[in-house]
Amino acid sequence: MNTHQVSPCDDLLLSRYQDGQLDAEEKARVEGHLAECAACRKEIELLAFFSQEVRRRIDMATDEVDFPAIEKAVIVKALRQRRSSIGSAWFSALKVLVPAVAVASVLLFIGYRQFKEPPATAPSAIINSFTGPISSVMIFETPNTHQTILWYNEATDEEREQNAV
Amino acid sequence: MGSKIIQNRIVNDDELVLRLQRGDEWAFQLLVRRYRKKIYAIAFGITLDAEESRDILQEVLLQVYRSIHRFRGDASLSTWLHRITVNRCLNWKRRWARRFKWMHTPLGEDGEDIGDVPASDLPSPETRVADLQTRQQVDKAMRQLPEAARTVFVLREVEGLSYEEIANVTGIKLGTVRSRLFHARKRLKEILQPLVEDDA
Repeated sequence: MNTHQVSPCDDLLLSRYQDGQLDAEEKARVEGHLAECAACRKEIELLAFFSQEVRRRIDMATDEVDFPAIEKAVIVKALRQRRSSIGSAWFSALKVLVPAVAVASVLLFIGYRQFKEPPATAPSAIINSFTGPISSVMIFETPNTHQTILWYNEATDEEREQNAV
Repeated sequence: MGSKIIQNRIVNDDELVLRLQRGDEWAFQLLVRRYRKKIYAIAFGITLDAEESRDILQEVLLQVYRSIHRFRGDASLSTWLHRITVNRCLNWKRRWARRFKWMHTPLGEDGEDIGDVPASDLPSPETRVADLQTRQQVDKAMRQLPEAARTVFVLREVEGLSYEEIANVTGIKLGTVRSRLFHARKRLKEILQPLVEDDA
């Protein structure tokens, strides 16, 4: 049954032969063997038949698919993803940009006021003041006639003692 | 403008990748048309489920669209696509769901395996019945193959990939490809041969 030097009726070799994965020497040996071995010829035919049936089964399944509809759906989803990714990039940029602009504006405003309108060094006068056991209030009149109220708490004797410990 | 020029000639995969990376929408459409059947065939061969294969096809194409800018060309575009497809098919959640479904849905009861034969394209009721039987037998045999062996078998038989290409796609050694193919065929023979002999 077998004429080649490899193991007789080698199924693994036949499998590789079927796939065209043998070198020239191996191929010649298998073909020499096949010429004499009816069982291996049948084996090759069977393997080819099963492969063909599997391919046919998959072709049948593929023929039933509405590919244009899938293509349309995929392209719509892809474009939507792209738009949303562009949108989210803008949104991410805005999340940094808006607070940065706000902080910069406040700093500029404060800086401008520091240069252009130096704050009054001292209030012109105390308009009124109230002194209590817990807190006190003082009302100043500033140079631009704005009134400033200071309200400060004084720690009680008991608290002072506790803080000192 | 570029898109109009590209439509009138054959675009190879390298150029297709460049155009995709530049955000050419027409190139994406070309990619979809070029690979949709191949991706679906691999997915169906592995999952044996039409609905799941349609989902996988969409997921693979969208993943390519999202990550094409990261494609560096270390492997060919088709190898990359095959790899993504196989990974999607063998995703552990899908594997478990499939196993569960196959355990609880005998062949022919899910409608997808039997009920969707297009009536008008087939010549006779006898042929339809024969086709249904073939489908059932092949599905049953394929389901009995271990997933790893089925994957290698499908890449070889459906896509015609070489052993080296299969090793690249699946990340296994050449010798493993060889032995998995051999065992897949051996198992298919064990399952299908008695049916063939019965018919004779």
